[in-house]
Amino acid sequence: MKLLKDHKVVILLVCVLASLLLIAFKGISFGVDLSGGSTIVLQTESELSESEMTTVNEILTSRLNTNGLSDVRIYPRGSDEIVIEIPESADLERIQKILTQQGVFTAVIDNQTAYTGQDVSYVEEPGMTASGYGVGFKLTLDGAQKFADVAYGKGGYPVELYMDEKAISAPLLSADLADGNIHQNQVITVAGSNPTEEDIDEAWVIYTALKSGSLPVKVHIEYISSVSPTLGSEFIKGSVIAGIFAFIAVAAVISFRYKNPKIVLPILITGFSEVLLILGFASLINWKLDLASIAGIIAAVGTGVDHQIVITDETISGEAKKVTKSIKRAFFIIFGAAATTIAAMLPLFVMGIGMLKGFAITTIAGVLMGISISRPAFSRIIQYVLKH
Amino acid sequence: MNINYKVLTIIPIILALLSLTLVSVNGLKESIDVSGGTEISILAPANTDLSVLKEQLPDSEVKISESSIGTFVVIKSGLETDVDSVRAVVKGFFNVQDLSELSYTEKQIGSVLSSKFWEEGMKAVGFAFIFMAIVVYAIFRTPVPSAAVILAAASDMAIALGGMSLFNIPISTATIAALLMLVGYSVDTDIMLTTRVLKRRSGTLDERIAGAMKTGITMSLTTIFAMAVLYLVVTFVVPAADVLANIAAVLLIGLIGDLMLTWMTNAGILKYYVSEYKKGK
Repeated sequence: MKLLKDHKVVILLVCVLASLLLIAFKGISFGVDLSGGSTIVLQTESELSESEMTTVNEILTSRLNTNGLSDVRIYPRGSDEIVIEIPESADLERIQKILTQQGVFTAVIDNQTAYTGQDVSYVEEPGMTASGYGVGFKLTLDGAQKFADVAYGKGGYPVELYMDEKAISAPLLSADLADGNIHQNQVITVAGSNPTEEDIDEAWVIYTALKSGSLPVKVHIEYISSVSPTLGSEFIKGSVIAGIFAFIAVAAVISFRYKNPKIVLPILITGFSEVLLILGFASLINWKLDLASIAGIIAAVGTGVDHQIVITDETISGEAKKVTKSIKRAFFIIFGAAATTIAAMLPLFVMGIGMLKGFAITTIAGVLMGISISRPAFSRIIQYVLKH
Repeated sequence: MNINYKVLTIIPIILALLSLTLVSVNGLKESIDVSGGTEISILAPANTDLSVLKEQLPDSEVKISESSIGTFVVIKSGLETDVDSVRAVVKGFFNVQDLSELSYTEKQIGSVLSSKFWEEGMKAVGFAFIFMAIVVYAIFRTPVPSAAVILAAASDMAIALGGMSLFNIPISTATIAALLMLVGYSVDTDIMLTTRVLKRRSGTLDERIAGAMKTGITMSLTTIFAMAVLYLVVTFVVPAADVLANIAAVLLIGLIGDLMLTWMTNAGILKYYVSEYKKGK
């Protein structure tokens, strides 16, 4: 076949092959809205410097890890937003409490601060303690010394424990802790021997805050999106089914119009190769496909098919000698249309309104690859096919 | 026939203006992306009796749709509703300790982010439109044909917005994306038509328009059919992925509007431009 010697066709074949290899070996990863998991966006109360942002990231990572969540992605967006992606199903209620807790812990006796979260050296996981369900922890030597000084002679006074200015517990100071000696081991109890679900959550929140320390600023949750894995796989299945049917619909329209498999098949195959190119590209740059990216693929492939129709009709209408001129005109239309599509998507890409960035990326990438790889090859194929 | 093409040119524009009037009177439904709040969807086994759940959530909007894989329940609550109490009711109803045991999705958006979405979304659409207009002018470098393309794209958006208002399709990040996609699709056919009319030398003006029409309607129909299928499959198979269904619906309405705008308005203006305006000069 002479066609296989055409460099534009060869480039398309090589790129499709490369995409297939990328998809096969590197795989395609899906965003949490398709594979299941949660995305949480935290808003900080004030703008953070880069080093504060790093601290926040570290603390939040440690808090989530402490609660058995691994493989968590945390990254800042701008100077006042933190995005957290958790790729597994998790108890949202507890996570919300754990994340938004600033974690400033203080123990006050008789209006004097006895110790703070910074004086804590070791924390035990929540469980039953001698005085009820709660969290056992150990103070540093310095902390214990401070506590001993403040507590001295105050047996029977309440030890008011505050987490983020909220009173969490106020056990009475036993006389043997008020003897002025150093007592490093302490306990915060939240319930008796029969803790409720809420008590357990509360204990874990205290445990997490003591263990990971306090955040430099207050944060609150601005966005949560959580998808269970079962529903996520339904989404992927649904998208694939919808894609296949949409493809059949396009095939039907084109077959009705051209009634010639020699024209219809190249259009469909090229359209399909564009899907592969976009997926290969997504795999290459480690882009996680979400629902918005799928919409972008639909948009890119849709314009791709439109452009192939333009090329086909220009090729058919161009009389033998004027074919080159017709093709040139077809590409004038295609480049113009592609440029306007990219121009329309650019603001989304630059501004990156969170969820729509995926849409802009797949559309722009698809259109660029279309005009540089698949459409030039298609024009050669269709010219060849129509001549023979 | 040639006499009334100017009347035909105006009809889609009137339709676009009516759409805008509808939007300003009827308003647009807001998704929680824009209004803030919580949306919880659950895939329940088919034939679950959900009337009790509805009664227990008087402050929330509970929507139920049946699909081949079960019953989708979508619960929408505004910012003023306490999420934890909604969750507690859902947990009680389905008798689970933790919502992650269910096939469910939850989306919560606070007031800061939702107003940011709205603001940035509008900005994105505005800039997209301006950039598109600049590119179109750069392509043709003649004011009248460029203006016709830009007018058609603007009217398409107006008709799509009117359709959203009419069919209660919420304005959301997804439908903003759809409106931007629409700009791309709309301009595709308009550029093709304008290029054919202005650059082709063979055939009469009417023949060139007719030829372009054959190509353009094929282009539009492929997308229209694809979107109709997408809409139906999502609605009946995975109603929870309503993002895709909303995108498909907006494009469907916009593209049907685009058929009229391209072949009545834009073609009419080009006809006037070639046969009268240019000759008059």
